[in-house]
Amino acid sequence: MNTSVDKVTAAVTVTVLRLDGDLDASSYEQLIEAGRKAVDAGAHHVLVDLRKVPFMGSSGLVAFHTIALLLAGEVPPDLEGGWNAHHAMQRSVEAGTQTHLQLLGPAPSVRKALERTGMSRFIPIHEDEAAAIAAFA
Amino acid sequence: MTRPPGTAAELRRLRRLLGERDARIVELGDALAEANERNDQELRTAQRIQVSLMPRSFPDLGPEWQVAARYRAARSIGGDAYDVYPAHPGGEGQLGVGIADVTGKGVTAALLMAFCRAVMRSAAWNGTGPADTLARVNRVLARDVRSGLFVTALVAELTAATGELRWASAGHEPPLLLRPGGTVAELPAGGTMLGLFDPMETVEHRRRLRPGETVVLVTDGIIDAADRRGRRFGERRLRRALRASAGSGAEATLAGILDAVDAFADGMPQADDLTMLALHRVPKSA
Repeated sequence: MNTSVDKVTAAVTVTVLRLDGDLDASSYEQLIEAGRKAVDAGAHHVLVDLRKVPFMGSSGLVAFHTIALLLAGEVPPDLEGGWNAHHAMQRSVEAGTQTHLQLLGPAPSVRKALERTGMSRFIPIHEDEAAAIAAFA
Repeated sequence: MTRPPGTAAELRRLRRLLGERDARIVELGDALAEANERNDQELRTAQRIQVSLMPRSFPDLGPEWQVAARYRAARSIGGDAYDVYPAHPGGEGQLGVGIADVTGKGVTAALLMAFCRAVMRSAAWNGTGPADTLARVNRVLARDVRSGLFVTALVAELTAATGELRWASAGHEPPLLLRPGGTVAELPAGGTMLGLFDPMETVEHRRRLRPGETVVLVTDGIIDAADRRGRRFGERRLRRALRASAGSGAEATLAGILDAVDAFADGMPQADDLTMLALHRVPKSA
């Protein structure tokens, strides 16, 4: 899988992680690393472009969740901290405010996995890039 | 050609240094090989323990029912498991089954699955049915487990006398129903992954299995199995393998799926565990 990074400035600056290739057990850590670098560089809004991802294994869910945790601002210093951050993020999801991480253009099989597991309730999904960028405002 | 003074001594010194360096490289190579062998051994031991936690013989429900399960570990340790048990301790005629998959790989996933499987069996024996079982496991995972991983699972309960199957899913692949004529239907599933939300959402489904019907549960390792060109086995090939096994019974159905995956993968090592479970109601004439 190849990863490239763009920045799009609209109402807010959105870091777009564009993926090309399968997102699976052999590549999900690469996505986490890209997300970590973006957060370290000051990103608050990340859009993961999945339009060129033909396949996603369940490891992809772990990557999305980890990046959402990093963006939640409670960077997990250890597993315990990470889990507290997860619970904090769950509360923000229930309040409908987890918008720091969004996804663009998943293939039907990828969307199916996101919906089947409930991850789509956690992370908003868009089909159109302009609409996705606007959703961060 | 004349040799500059001191070169011979310099050459000897360099040869000695190179010799020492070569010896050091061999030493480090040996140490690395030893460490790798130790890691491989520990991984193999962990895999053996993981396999030993899954039952090989199942409660007998009489001649009208067949149960089969398969587990094949990924090239590195994975986080799949299945379970088959009397639905109530000491009770007869009711069978509980479960299949689960941790959203990650490696020793962390395997340890979480070992924990999860024990919690699930206990929850099944203390709960009121499959949906309640999943809700109980979810409470433990969401509140007390801090691995950062999630679990998809499907739990079912079969009453042998009536053929009634009750099941509930936590974000798992839906069960597939294979009819004796060879048609394949996806049964409803739903429910969110374990550990993601507390409380979780899940729905209990019911269906009476008819003679000749087979219900097959799989983990995504089957559907996601890859060949050398990076293509995936997919749901279409799974359904085709199922159709080819119609009416052949639980064991033969799972063997047929595994053969189809192997033929497709053509020796490609798989990144994910392959796990399946089948319940078959034998036709009265068989």
